[in-house]
Amino acid sequence: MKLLIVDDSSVVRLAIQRDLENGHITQVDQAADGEEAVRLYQEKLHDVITLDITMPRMDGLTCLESLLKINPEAKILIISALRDRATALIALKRGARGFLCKPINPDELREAFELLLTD
Amino acid sequence: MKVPQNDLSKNLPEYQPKEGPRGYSIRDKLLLFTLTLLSIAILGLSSAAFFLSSGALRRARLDGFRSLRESFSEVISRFFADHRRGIATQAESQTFRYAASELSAGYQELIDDLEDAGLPVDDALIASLRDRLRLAYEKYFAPMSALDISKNALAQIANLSREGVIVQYVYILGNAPDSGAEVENEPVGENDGTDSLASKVRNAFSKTTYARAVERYQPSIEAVVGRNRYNDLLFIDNRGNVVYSFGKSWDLGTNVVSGWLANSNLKKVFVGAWYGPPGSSTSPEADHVMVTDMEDYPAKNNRPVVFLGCAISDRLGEQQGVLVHEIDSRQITSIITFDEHWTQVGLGSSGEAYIVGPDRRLRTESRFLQELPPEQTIPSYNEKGLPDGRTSILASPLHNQAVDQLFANKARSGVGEVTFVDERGRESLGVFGMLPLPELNWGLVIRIDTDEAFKPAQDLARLVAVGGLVILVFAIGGIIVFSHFLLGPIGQLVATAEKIGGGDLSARAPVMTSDEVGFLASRFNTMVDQVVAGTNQIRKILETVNEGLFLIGPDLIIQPGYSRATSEIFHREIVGLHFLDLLRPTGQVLEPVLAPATLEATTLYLELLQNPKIKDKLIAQTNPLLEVEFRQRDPKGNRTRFLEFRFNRVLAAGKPTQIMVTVLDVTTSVSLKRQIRESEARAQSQIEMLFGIMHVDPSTLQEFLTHTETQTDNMVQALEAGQFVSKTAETAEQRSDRYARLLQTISRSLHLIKGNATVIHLSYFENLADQLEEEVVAIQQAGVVSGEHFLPITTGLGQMRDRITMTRELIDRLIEMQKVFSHKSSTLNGEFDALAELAEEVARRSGKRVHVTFDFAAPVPAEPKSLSETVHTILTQLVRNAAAHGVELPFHRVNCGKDPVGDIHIFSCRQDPHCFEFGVRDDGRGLDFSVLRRRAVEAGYADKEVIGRWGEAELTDLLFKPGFTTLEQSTRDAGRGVGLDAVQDLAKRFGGEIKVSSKMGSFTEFRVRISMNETFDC
Amino acid sequence: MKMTDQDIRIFITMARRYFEALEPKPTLVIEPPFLRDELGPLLEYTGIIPVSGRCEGAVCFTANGGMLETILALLKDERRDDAAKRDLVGEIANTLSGNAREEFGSDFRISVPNVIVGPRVSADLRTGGRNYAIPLNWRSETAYLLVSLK
Repeated sequence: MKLLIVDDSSVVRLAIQRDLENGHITQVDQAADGEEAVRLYQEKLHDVITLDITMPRMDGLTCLESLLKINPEAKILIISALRDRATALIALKRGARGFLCKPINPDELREAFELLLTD
Repeated sequence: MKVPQNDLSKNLPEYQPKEGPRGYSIRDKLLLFTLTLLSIAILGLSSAAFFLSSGALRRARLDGFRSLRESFSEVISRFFADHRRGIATQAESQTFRYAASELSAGYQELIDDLEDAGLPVDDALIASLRDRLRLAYEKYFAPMSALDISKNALAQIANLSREGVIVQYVYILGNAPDSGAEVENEPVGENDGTDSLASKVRNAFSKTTYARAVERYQPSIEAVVGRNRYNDLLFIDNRGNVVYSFGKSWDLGTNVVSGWLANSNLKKVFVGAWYGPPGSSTSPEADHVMVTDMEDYPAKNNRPVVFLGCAISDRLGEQQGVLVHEIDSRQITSIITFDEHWTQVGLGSSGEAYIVGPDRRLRTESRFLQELPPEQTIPSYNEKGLPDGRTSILASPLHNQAVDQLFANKARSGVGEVTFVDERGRESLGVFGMLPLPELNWGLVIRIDTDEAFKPAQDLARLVAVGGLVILVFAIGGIIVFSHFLLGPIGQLVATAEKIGGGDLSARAPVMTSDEVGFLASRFNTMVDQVVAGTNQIRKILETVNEGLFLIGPDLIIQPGYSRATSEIFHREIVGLHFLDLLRPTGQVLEPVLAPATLEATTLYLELLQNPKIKDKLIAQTNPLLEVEFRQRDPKGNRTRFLEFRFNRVLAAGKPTQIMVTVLDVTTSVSLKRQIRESEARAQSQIEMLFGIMHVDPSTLQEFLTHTETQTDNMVQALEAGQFVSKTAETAEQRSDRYARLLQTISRSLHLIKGNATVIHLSYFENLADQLEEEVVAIQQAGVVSGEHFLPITTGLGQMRDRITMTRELIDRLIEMQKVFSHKSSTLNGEFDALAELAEEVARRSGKRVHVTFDFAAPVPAEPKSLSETVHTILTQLVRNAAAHGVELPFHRVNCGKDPVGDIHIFSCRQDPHCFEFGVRDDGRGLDFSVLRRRAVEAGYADKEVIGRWGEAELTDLLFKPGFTTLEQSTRDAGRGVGLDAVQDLAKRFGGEIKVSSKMGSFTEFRVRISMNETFDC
Repeated sequence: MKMTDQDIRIFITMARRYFEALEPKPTLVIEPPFLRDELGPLLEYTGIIPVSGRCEGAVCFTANGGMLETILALLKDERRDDAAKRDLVGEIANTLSGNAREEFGSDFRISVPNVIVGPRVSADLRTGGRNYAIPLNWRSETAYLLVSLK
């Protein structure tokens, strides 16, 4: 199970990684911006991606579209601030699978992760 | 609040009443089945009956006919045999020989004999006789003019021989009684009955040999004829002349060979009898009888007759003539018809027997002569020659199968049976057979209408059919009764089902029988009970649940069947509405206050929910309707409500079909949250304030506070002063100028404050000033300005004041804390904290502010032991007084130029070793002696005048008088006048005294002096 | 619950409505509100409505006799005496607070109006809240809407 965490804050990335740590995840990659995320995904094709909306250089929506272009079935979970809710809705319409708002509740994050994987 | 009565049964999805069981009911099917079955059975049975019985009947009939045929054959053949024998016998008899011989001889000599008798037979006579004959012929044959007979007969009159003429004249025309003529004479000669010619002739004739011969043999011949019932008996001589006719008919005297009867069967019989059977060269046998076929005999009114002929020979065997018997067809007909006793013969009412000849024409009369078509009959004439209807004998040839088959067989013994159609078009059952007659080729046909033949079969079939129909009727009746009993309960069940389908859920099927139907009915009832129970459960849940609960379809239309709470929350029924309509203001009691962006987000969110690819839990946090503001119209006042909408997908077979919406009223929790947020913000701001103050230099801070306060006051005053109070009207322009100036003033002050705040990094003040500046700018930029627009500034200034006050309070608190912490060495540890607290408490209660300071230079003496306690008590009272009485309200103090916080100073000292002094000093309003004076007057200690002369000391003393108080109303803490007199007592107890010093508007001090040794002067 | 600007605006609206009801196009001008240490300023006649419930304090309408006489005339009231003016001022104060209740709700309780006469700098009324004075300029006369609620 490969996980890709995309967020411009290292604290957030670390928190997500820590919360989702379990035996099933074999590899975790982190990206601080959209371009890096696309590059990493292209290489490794992770099973699950967490994505922030407000990021420098490439914003969340653009990144989402690029990722989906690589794989339309990509499982992308948007993790962003509550004020980004409206944008999140658009992201969901475009193909994201879920949305969680910061501050992140570890239990909610784990539950969302489980739900994403069962299909 | 009235909520429309929510009849939940109406809100449950409408059950479309389905139509009753379509198609044929069980009873109909049963009836149809039985009817078909029985009809087929009846049909089959009656057909079988018909065919079987008709077969039997046919056989019976045919058997009957066959035997009939045999008997007829026998009778006919015997008939002819008898006749043959008869004629042969007669031909051989002496009598007849002699008769024949004599008659022939006499005929030949007739003319001579007549002349001998005196009648000259000349041509004239013959001619006149012929004329008379002609007349007679004409008259006689007139009715038969249709036939050729009369023509031929008349034509042949000329050819009659003389003998013939005479004979015919005498026997036919004449009325000769003695000759025994049976022929009715046309009374031709009646008019001339006395005609000499007639009598002459007759006279002469009677003398002839011929006449005598006739006379002689007449009786014997008569007897024979009578016995045998011959139509006529004739003698024909060897020349072919009919020399004798018993019946005296027109054939008498003609020549069969050459006369008008040459074509008749008379000639045939003569020829046949004389010459014998064709092919025989020699003379015929003596007993050879010639029989001719039946033919219409012209001489006998064209009646159909049969001739038998036999040659008569003399003793020597020489043929002298032919004896002829004439047999009328009636005789034969009578045999065949059994004298018309049809039924006795077994021919019923439609049967008949007839004989046909080789020419296929009838030889016997048809029974149904009247029914025959005209072409099958010919006119018939009776013996008198008069038309006698018609006859079928020798009429048209028959062409039916029976006759065909008769003559199809070459063998004369052709027999058979056949079903055929006769001349009348009747289907007939018949037998046929050739008659065993040597000379005649006659066939016999016996037939009967098949209808009659098979009538019994038909009757039977009809009986079977009728019987069957009766059974059918009973069967139908039986089925109806049966179906009522069996299907009744089923029908009831069906009716109950229909009622339930129509919406009446209380209907139950009556369990009437204990068979499968009863079982079905009771199980059905149980099932309905369960359904009703289930429905009731749901209804109960929907009625009890607190939240609004409803379903919306993919079209976002609200479906019927939702919780009572839903209609209560929205104050109306929402069934059928589009969900988004709940979020748009439509003039309802509960009106939404929604940003357009939220509505868009909702649409998008709902769209996402219907996407089966997305799990609803994963997008729950994008729900934009977690706190939707609504305005509720209420006569008591509009209020704001907050509703929370949550959405859950309803899946059916893995596909989202509906969305369940839960609505919760979260008004209280939202307002709580807001309060928390507000208090947090406040706390936050207080912390901000604290931190801000911490790093500022105290004097700078003090100055800032003062300055800010001043500026704020200025602004407030500017607002107040900026009002327009002139009596004349002001133009809009003037007003806007005025406001502009006001705003400028305010702006300037704000700017100053902000500037200062920025310098000392008091963001707390800086932000507020900044905010207010923005407000000012907003007003300046706005178009039309009214005084109302200034409200945020007014409020902002109030806030500025509050902040200043809060800052000051905080500082005071810090100062206090500092004082306490720095005066740890004070004696009476802890007790002074209580005093300080008390003072502050008391002050607070009356809206004042104090802070307490201690200066216990001298400790309380240990002896007497109770002194310490007393000191505390006294101090408590004094402190109380100071806080309640002494210190003024903060703004009062400010007005007097004092610090708003009053100072209460608790002290002790030991100036003199023998005196212990302690007391309380406040920097309050001091004693107002005029008030004291007045109070004294009011209290009645002395009259006004006296009191007017009292000095300060006396007035001061008043304070210690029990019950004396200067406060108009007693408050909890002071004013009851209990305190100071008690203090004085206490002091006195220890040999002490209280001294009061005061300066109005400045301070008040209560000092207690306790002497430490026994001497009381200190 | 603290009183907000919005609440004060409601009172101002009620005052405006009152004058609009008096005459078709009132020449009412609302001047910028200012603060006072205590409830005031008080003109010749003041109608005080004590308020409790959600907010504690008082709402007052204060005017001079001249304006009140004008209003009486508009209301077709023939009286011009002191009693009439006291009645009127009390009634106006009552109307204003009563109408405001529509917006505030049932926990905005008003009691019987108190009428005080005579100009005073301040009254001994402690409310603990801010004391707003909203000048109402009408026909060259000035009245005040005083709001002091906590």
